Amino acid sequence: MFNNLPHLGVGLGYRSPLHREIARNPGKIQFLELVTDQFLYTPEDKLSAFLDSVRDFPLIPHSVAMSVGADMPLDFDYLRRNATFVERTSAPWFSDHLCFTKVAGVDLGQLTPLSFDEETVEVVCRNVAAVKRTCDRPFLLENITYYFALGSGEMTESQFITKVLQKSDCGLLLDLNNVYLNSINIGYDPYQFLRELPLDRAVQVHLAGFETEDGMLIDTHAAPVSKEVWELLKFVCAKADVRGILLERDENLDDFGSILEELDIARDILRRFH
Amino acid sequence: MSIYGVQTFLSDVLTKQPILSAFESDAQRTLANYNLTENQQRMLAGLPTARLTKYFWMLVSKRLWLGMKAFPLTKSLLPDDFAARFSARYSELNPPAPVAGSPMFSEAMTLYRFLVACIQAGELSSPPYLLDVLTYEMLLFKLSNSPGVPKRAAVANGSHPSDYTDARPVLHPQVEIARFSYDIIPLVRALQARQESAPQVLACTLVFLRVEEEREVTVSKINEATRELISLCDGNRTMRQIAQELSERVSEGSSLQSKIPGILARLTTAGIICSAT
Repeated sequence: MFNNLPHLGVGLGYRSPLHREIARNPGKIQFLELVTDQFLYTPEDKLSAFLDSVRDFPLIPHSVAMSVGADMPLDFDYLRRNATFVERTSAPWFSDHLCFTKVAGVDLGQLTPLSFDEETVEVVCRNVAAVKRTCDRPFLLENITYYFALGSGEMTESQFITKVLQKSDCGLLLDLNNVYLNSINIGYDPYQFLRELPLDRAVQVHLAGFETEDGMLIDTHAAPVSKEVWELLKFVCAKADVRGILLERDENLDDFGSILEELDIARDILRRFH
Repeated sequence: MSIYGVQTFLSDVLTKQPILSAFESDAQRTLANYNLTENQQRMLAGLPTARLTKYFWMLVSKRLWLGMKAFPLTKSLLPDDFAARFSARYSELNPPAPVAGSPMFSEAMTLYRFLVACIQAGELSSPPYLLDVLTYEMLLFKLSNSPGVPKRAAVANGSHPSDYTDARPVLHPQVEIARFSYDIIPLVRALQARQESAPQVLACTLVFLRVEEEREVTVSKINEATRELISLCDGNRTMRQIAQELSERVSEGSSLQSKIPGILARLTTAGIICSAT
């Protein structure tokens, strides 16, 4: 299922304050990732105008609130809107996060970690099946940053991710900033973690920057990519046929030149191994 | 037994400060309120409260950030310590709740109401035009993000105002009218351009209008007579009655009465009023 996916190159997470700069650089930005949730309730006329304005870019929808790890039925209206949006973008794949964000209809607004155990694997697989029933394009799950671990002791995070991906037949959206942050905040070897993952399923990679607060590394998407994360990217590109590398930047957007430079670095790394 | 109990506890402890405080002081007793196995209780009791607390505040600031996206100019006018001063109260007064529709829309409207309360209580008094800017941004955001914008509706099918004097006009659902204390349009333009300006105290009334074929929300200034006329468009009065009532209020009398059907027709064509039936 994943072998036939196109190689998109290096892309940027779409953020509306960057619209003008993005539109001027279709050569340097090879695809855009859209936060699906920002478009689910957009009036049709505005949505059409927006999609027309980014027609030069391949688009990848990336949602944040499916809540595939929640031990409850997923929000069908959300899934239906998501599927409609994915179809509108003609995306080769779409993605969300391996976590839960909703309990009893309440949206926490935050990616919240799961316990790494068999029961949760079953819950995720059941929910992913529901996602796939609404949209038949390849679906990727992203590893999240978390600041506390639910230590069930049943399995490690890498074992958990591997089981979920294999049982649900999903691709991996590998966020290397999240891997690095968790390795420091929770305490593990990021390279060992990556070795244990099914990298043949790593379709897309996320890169971002972090900040340090109260001794913890926080996934702010507000800083340049760290040298440690660039090293992890080289490691992954040497082992996996990555179809897209995506830079996420949510704040400190004024220096667009530096964002383009980061895309160039990622492109160089990708070319070196592919 | 399922992981639902674990997730319910996490949801509560990460969004409700009393639960977080209770967990900090007595984890076992707090966990006893949830449907958990012994293993799950043991696992959750070991969670580091400092990190849960950090997570809690990150979530609050994320919600504020999400809501603020609707009000970029207002955000630029708020004091630097706004989040530090008001996050706790915002969280306490507005715990996450089930949302039908867009979470951002819901959060923005919640934040709007919170900010208005703070401004009206004198806690966010500077600059004095903050409420005007907030109201302007809220109405623009609300109309821009309202689904199902109907096409312009005619009051009646007649081609001449005199043909539909018995129609009962009402404000179009996709129209908002608001009064401002400052000359808000140049003020907003100056703020958008990050220009220094001396905002003029000049009461004005604006019509915010979104129609499907125009995509963007249009904002127009209207005079007091038009505002008064629109205020009579309540779906009960006929155009004839509105014209009669308004002409009785002003000294121009019958000369105004003759103009009113034409004004109502223009408001209808502009999509500001439509038929109540």
